[in-house]
Amino acid sequence: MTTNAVSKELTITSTPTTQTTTPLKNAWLASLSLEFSLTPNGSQLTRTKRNGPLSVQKAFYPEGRDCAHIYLLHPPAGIVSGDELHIDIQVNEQAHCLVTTPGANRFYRAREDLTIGDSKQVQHCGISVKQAAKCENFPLETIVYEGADGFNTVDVYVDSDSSYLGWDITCLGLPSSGQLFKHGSYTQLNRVYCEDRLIYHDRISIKPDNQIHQHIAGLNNHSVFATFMAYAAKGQITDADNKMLIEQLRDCMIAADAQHKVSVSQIRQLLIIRYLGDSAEECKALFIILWQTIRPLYLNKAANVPRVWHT
Amino acid sequence: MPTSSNTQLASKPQADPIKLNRLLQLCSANLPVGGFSFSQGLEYAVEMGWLTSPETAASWININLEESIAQTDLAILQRLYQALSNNNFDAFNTWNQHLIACRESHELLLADLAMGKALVRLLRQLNSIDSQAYEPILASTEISFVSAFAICAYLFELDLLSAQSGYCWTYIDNQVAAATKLIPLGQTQAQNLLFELTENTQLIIEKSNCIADDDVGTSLPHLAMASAWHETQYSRLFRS
Repeated sequence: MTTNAVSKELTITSTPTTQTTTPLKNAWLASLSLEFSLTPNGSQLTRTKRNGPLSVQKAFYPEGRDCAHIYLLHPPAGIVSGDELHIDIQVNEQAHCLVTTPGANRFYRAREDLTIGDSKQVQHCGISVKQAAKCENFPLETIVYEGADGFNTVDVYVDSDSSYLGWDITCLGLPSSGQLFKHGSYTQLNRVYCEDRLIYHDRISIKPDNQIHQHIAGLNNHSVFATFMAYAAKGQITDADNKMLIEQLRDCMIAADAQHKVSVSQIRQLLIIRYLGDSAEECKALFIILWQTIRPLYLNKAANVPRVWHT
Repeated sequence: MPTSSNTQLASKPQADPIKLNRLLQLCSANLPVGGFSFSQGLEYAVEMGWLTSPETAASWININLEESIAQTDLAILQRLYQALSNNNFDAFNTWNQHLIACRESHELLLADLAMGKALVRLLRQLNSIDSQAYEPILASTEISFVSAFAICAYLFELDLLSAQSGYCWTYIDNQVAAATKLIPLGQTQAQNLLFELTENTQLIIEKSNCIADDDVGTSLPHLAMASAWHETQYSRLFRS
């Protein structure tokens, strides 16, 4: 992964030789927009628009035609200063897609020389789940390198009868390789809108001049934090069953001895599950256990673990 | 100290006693909104041994004030107050909704809405205050406590700074009372804690008034988790 970082830095620093009249921006704007629709052949990727290095492979159907699985690819594997990645996913009426990534995402150390451009590194993901549609969004972890200046936003737009399950897992630094996260900035913003009304807003903003990373009320010096959001379509599950589900999820975490690392709470139709600890692998394993319990109830589907998660 | 505050008293115009009384009334622990029945995650933090002393309690309440209250509650209180001054009910509703969306657990949401509802009920029954013109917003299905507080402050003719300091006081007083009961702390320790925590109020309000719209709303993840875990805490004094 360090080679990746180096080669990308090189491409970027070697390009702007001709930019003498315009200010050097060194920005790499990439966007990918995907649209899934229900067709007589099941849920299909019906539109792809891309600009820059983001791309997808063909949809595949490990559990039948009604749910399209897709790998989101970002060959540079990481985001440097000036980069802005925009991913838009629209799931049309009654379609179902499961999006995942084959590799970790990375926010590299930000540039310090601001004369060659802004230090900001931005990823924005907008997911719009139309009526009776289902979307599952399970990217692998995002690694934030020491000295990064990252902004990662996930905006989910649901209808009262659409369903969404999705997580984000953030690793601050690489403590196992002795690279602690001490001076970087990173903001993770998750927002959920139901019929264009903001119903959930969660911004975790780590900066060198605040104590969010260190304080016991913040991240308590842990290096991995994650949120798993699950939104059930209206009428999909009764309040009583949802209450039982929450108890069951908490029991699963007690059985896995993770009751002090994972919390489960409910905000109306939205389940908010949080992990705070030191291992992305552990977090993923716990979230998969929870997903296997939630999925049959929220999406009427058994949860067979996607192959890419085994690697 | 005594000399400087004496000079201040002499040089500054006298505060309006009625307004001061209204502010004290709005921020009194006796305000019947049920604030004392919620601990905002503090009860679980004590149960887990995270808060054991006046120092650890001060640190917990302080980071809440600096990160969460300043960047969410106070920043939005300013916008709500502004919306009321401009008679802009749409903006008021948008910020009210934004605030409610920032409550990251069932407990935090429940506390905010229950207190908001109670304050609206009270406001409608106050004989000296005519809130009729504000019915379109009072009738919203969900009102955050902060939004109800903003309407009261506005109708009590309190200025924004007083409203913001009053809000800080309400929060600090509530948390210190909870800490006093739970840790527990002595009454004198609690009073010293109130002195210490209110020292920062001015800075916190100044900070909150400089926040751009896009940066409004900040979470404290472990606090949010503590509040979620509180829902299943075996024995508790506070609601969840």
